[in-house]
Amino acid sequence: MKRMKVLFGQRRMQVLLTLAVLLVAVSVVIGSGANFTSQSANPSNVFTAGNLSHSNSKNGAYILTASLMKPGDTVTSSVTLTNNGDIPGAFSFTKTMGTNVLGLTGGDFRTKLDLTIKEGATTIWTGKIGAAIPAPNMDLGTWAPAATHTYDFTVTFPDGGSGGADNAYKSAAITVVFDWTAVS
Amino acid sequence: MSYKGAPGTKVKKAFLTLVVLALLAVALQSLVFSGANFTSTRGNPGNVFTAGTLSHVNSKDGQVVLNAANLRPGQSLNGSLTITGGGDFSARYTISKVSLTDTPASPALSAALTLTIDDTTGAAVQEWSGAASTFSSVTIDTIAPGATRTYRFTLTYPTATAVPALQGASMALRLQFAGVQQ
Repeated sequence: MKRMKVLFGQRRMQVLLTLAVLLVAVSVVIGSGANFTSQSANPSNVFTAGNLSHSNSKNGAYILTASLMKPGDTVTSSVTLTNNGDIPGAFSFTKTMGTNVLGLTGGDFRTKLDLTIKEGATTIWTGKIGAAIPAPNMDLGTWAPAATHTYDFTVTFPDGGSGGADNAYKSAAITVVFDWTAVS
Repeated sequence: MSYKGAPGTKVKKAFLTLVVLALLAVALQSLVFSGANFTSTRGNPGNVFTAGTLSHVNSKDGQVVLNAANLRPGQSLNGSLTITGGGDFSARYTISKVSLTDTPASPALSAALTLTIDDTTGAAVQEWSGAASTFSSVTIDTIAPGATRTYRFTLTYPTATAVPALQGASMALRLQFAGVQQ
C-alpha cells in the first residue's frame, strides 16, 4: 500500500510535470503572437496660423494736410497700402471727423471742403469731407498677399465766388482721421 | 429595474434627447457666432485742414476822406488814407464806387469835378483820374500782411467845367476798399 502510494505519488508527479510542460507549450503557442506587420506614418502634420498684416506708407501720420487754405486751393497726396501678411485680407477704410473749428462767421469746413479718393483713374469715394462714407466702412475688396494699392487723396476748397462769398470760412479748421482695416 | 416602455425609460429617453438637443444648440451657436478672424489695422490721423484769413485796416474806415465844402472853380482839395494789409495772405485791392449822389441831379456836380487817386506811399503814382461821375472802380496794389500803402484822393473843380447852375450843388461819393487774396 505504501509502495502504491509512492508509485502513485510518482505517477501523479509525472502527470503534473507533463501537464506543466503542456501548459508551457500551449502558452508558448497561444502567447507568441508572432505576425507580420506593415506600418506607415504621416508625421509632421504641422498647422501654423497665417499672418494678416499690412503696411501703410504713412502709418500714424497724416496723408495730407493744408494750412491757410483759401478759396480755390487744392491739396493732394497719396498713401500706399500693402498686404504684407501671408493670407488674403478684406480691406476697408473708415473716415472719422476730429476737431472742427467753425470759421470766423460760422462757416463749417465739413460741408465745404471736397474730398476725392482715387486709385488710378477709379474714384473710390468723393463728396464733402464731412459726409458719411458707406456704413460701416468703405470696402476696398480682398487683397492677396503682397498686393499693393495706392490711393490719391485730393482736398479742395471750392471757390464760392467773388465778393467774399467764402468769408464765412475764414480761419475754419477740421481734422480728419483715416483708418484702414484688413480682416481675414 | 426597468423595461422597455416603463415610465423610467421614457424619462431617460427624454433626458437624453434634451441633452443631445442642448449640445446641438451649443454647436450651432458656435458655428453662427464664432466670427473669429485675424485683423490688421493702420491709421492716418492728423489730416488737418485750416483756412487762412484775410483782413485789412483802413485808417479812415467809415469816415470822410475828403470834405470839399465851398469848392470854387479852379480849386483843388485832397485827403488821404492808409491801408494796412492783415490776415494771412497778400491781397490785391480794389477801390470801387459804392454810391454817388448829386444834388441837384442835373446838372451834376460830379460831372464837373475831376477825381484823382494817387498812391503816395513813395513817389506819387497815379492810380486813376477822370470825371468823378465816371469813376466805377480801379484795381490798385497787392498789399502783403502788415504792409501799408497810402492813397490820396484829390477833387478838382476845373474852371472849364464850371457853370452857374452848379453854384450850391453838392456831391457825395462813397468808396470802398476790397482785397482778394492772392
